[in-house]
Amino acid sequence: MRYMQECRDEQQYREAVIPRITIMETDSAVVVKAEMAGLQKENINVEAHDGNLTIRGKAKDTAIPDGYVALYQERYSPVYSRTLTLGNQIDPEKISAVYEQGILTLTMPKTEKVLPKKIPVL
Amino acid sequence: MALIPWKSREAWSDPFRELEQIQNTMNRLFDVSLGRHTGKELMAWDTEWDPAVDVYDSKDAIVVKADLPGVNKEDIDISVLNDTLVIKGEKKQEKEVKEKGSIRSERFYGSFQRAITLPGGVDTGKVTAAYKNGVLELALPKKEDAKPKQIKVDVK
Repeated sequence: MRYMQECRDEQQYREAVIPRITIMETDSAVVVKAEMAGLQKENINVEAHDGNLTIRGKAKDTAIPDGYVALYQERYSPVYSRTLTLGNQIDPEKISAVYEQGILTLTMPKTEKVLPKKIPVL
Repeated sequence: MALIPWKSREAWSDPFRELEQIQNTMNRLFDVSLGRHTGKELMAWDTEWDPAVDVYDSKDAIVVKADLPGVNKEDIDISVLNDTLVIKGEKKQEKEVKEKGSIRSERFYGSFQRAITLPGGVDTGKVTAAYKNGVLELALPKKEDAKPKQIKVDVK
């Protein structure tokens, strides 16, 4: 039964839009910005698993309102989905996400071991 | 005597294969030209920044929704002239993280403009706009005299 539910969950993402992203890097973190217009914060799901990071959004308001007919319908899909590879320099525990103006911003601090270390000269 | 490659003989044996190829090519053509960008054709997405728009029409009003993620409210300019709605503006690049630059960027920045021909009769004085979660939503009520009127005819 649980498998069936998972299949149904997967089904709704088959026609998902892959959000456009920008990846930026600083010395201490990697910042990803994804364009996901028209979502509510509660309907965004960010999940780190097996070295991958999946960002998903659903329930974008693309339905035709009652009593209206569509003349243009280019915002066709109510869901977004994308999976990124994290690699070993990101600490999945410390990823933070903010949704603002239709942009999902993920701040992913690097693990301690890849951060540059200053070694004092004695 | 001409040599016939073995592979092409196999192709002859299935005349439908070529038809199938034509069908696939046509499908791809429609996907691109009708703007059905599903995940599979990420790289075939349009190369210009051109917001996706929904326009809904009813007898009382027109509703327009446009995806403008990352555009500041102040940078959106909306005008209605006669029956043409023009949404224009500029998407500015965020400047906060610039130390090492971007590793990968698929997002477009810069100015955009969309002109939409509306079905007539919009009351230009009553247009309202709201911007939320990266979506611009316009409500354009129609003029009273443009609304369809029901005329009752008594049957004698």
